[in-house]
Amino acid sequence: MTKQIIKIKNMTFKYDQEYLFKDFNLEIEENSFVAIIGKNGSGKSSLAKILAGLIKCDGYINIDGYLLNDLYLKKVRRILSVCLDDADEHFLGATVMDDLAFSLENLGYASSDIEVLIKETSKKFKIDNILERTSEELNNSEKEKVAIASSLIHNPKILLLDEAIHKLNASDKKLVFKILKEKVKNKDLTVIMITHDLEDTLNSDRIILLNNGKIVLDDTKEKVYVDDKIEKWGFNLPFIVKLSHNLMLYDLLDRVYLNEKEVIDKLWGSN
Amino acid sequence: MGIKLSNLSYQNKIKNINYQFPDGQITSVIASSGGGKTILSYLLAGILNGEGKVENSWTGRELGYVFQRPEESFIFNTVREEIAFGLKKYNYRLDVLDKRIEESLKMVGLSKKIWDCNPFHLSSGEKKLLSLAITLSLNPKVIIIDEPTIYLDNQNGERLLRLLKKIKNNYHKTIIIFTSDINFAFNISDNFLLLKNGEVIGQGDKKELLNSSDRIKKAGMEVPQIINFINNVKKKKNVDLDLTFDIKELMKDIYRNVR
Repeated sequence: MTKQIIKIKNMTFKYDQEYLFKDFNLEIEENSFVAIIGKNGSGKSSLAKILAGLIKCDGYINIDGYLLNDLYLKKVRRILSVCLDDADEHFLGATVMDDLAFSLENLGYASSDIEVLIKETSKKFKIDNILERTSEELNNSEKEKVAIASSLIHNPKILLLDEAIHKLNASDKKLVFKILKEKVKNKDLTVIMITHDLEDTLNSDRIILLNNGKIVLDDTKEKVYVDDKIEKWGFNLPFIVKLSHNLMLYDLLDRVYLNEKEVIDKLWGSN
Repeated sequence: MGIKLSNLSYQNKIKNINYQFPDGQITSVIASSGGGKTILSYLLAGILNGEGKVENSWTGRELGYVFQRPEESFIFNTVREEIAFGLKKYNYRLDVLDKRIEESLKMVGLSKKIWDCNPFHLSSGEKKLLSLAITLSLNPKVIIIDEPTIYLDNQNGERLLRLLKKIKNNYHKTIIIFTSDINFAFNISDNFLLLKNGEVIGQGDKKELLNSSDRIKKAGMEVPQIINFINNVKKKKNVDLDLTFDIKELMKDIYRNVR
């Protein structure tokens, strides 16, 4: 039996007298990698803030068995870690090391454990060489990487990323996705990634499209990319999907492929 | 004369840059995070002073600058006041002020509905478009934009692309973009300057950019998927496809090649 680690029922939220969400429902399966996409102003960041407990709404939200309300907010925060789009605001400590330690101290970890966890995490994220740096001494990519590392250091069950990866440079992005996918595969983490870049969604299992506070598309990435309906909502298909569709029109491919190697092998033989 | 940089350096973050930005064209300064983009943009706009020389024939309202984080330029509680501020400062006629504000918002695709909204409450994409509208309202000669696409969805990104090209073509403006969005840079640039750790490691026109995969990677950025694909086909199957940024061109080439 699969468990739904997040359950949202009949959630309603008003912004400036207007409904942004009205009777909104969503369930997220444990240990899945979900991408939430939407245009500017579609409500995706508000959804992130609601789940993070930063803004209040009406309705039922259950996160890993706890109702999201003032009583359980602390518990929920430990389960669901949030990375918002501004890595600068995330940074609390004087140095990277302090910042990583801060979230652990806050959760009451012993200092000997803190040391071990920082060592492990910083090595994994390849930030062990910048532990002594202050926020001003980091570039945007490093800042985002530190923010993600510090959100994961206490091993939360859920990681919520709100446009928190778009400043990562190519190699850092690759590394972050590798770490996240591995944790999901090991049934150690559920990832909810809010993004406007469809290339990122190729790393997820499920794609949810938000428009004006409503879910208008919700399926596995394979099914979402079978056709180009997502373009009608104003998105560009990931390159390899777009190319697949075009190649199918020319009868050069039999179906959509989500990976470049497969397309190349299909066209020119797999040696 | 435009903007000319001679032996420009700033601490150890910008290293001895010499470049003349061509008038009436779109030039992208491309670099990954930490490559020196924002600092160089500040040096161009006169927000920072470095060693060496920045010759800039445009000042005041002739020079428009859009911050990476749009909030940095917001000071008022309504969108209307935010745009009106600059217009009043440069003695814009009050009787046509509202019309001008409306036009500026329309240009960037923002609706009149947001006039009375608090700019700080807009979505990140809307904020970015608003700060561009504020800049455009003053009709500058040169427009400098730091990370134009960072908060924009595809649709707004494409709108921006069309808008900037139109502004350049119809009004002969000089547009300088600082970006790590390599796809956007490929689509929009007449010229490019590629930076790594504050140093120029590549420059040239659009065509040259297509041939710069190695240098783009060296600068810590992802090569556009389409270019990667063409390079990988060459590498893995020893098949030569023409370098292009247009998927239709690529399709024709693949068709010729496979059939």
